[in-house]
Amino acid sequence: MTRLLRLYPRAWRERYGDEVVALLEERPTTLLDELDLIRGALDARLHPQVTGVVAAPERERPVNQRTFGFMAAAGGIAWIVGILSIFVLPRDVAGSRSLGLAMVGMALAMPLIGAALGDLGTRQGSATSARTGHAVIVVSIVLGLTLLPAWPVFLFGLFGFPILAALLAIRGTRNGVFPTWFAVVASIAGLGVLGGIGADVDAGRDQTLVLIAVVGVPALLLAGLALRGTPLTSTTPMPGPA
Amino acid sequence: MRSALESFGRFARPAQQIVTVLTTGPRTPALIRHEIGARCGTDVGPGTLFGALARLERRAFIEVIPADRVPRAYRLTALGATTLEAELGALAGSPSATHGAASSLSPAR
Repeated sequence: MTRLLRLYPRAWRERYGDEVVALLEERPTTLLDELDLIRGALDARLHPQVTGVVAAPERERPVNQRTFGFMAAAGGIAWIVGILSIFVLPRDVAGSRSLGLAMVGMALAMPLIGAALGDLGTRQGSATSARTGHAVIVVSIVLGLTLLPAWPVFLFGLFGFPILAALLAIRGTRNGVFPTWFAVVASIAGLGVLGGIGADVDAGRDQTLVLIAVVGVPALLLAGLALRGTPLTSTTPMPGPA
Repeated sequence: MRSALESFGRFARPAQQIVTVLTTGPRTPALIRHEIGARCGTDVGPGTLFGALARLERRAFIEVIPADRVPRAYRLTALGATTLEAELGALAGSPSATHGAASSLSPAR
């Protein structure tokens, strides 16, 4: 009978699997029970009610929430200061703005913000979520490193990180870790960066640079959420379809 | 307009039965299943029972009582109690619906 539980999504099994087994042990199961379980599995896949959320208390993490809050704050500041440095530094002989310090700032910011999003966004999740969080940290570091070589390698980081950050914010919201507004702000900021880059960074137009700088804002908001003292896992999961 | 539990589709009736059972106190899934069977004369299958529990829990109408071991008990939340009250109030104003509610919440004859 318990083999039928394999038909259910992993997140569902992690939340309810042991309770179903306990229920089935109460009395002999019938063919109707088996058919009902199959029907329930189909429903669980068509209308997911569990999105990686488990009722178990937050797992022990080697690094606490406040540390990731400080990392997000440092990342947000590094990003914004890096972009603003473009306005401050003198132009080169050809009259173009200097992007060197901005790239270093963003290269530092990506691993810091990515690590905070990757860990905090998966705190109220399964073991799979935790592994995803670790993978995100590695990917963020790689994306940050792509900013250091010359064109066109840095385009991977410039395009990849805003998308990654927005997806992580949405995932964190669906996991019930971040409030919904945070996913909205992060998504808008990600689109702003993509728009800014698409509008030709090298031209150095002020409005383009401001668009890119906005990624620092959700990073600072994330820091505020993590540092306010309340565990992030207390947020109610995002409601979904029946 | 459909009520909160009616939006559960085929899980609406078992969800209503679960919430009703939980008004008398926390219950494990096995006890919920047993009481629904005793009160309504219908056997709720395990897939249906947990499909309804998952929907109720996701909408914070019920919550699990934290425990290290299974079976864990579920209890009605304040929101769940308010929702049930509103559902019954709405049903009381509809003669045809009242009959449906009575048949789902009362013991089978």
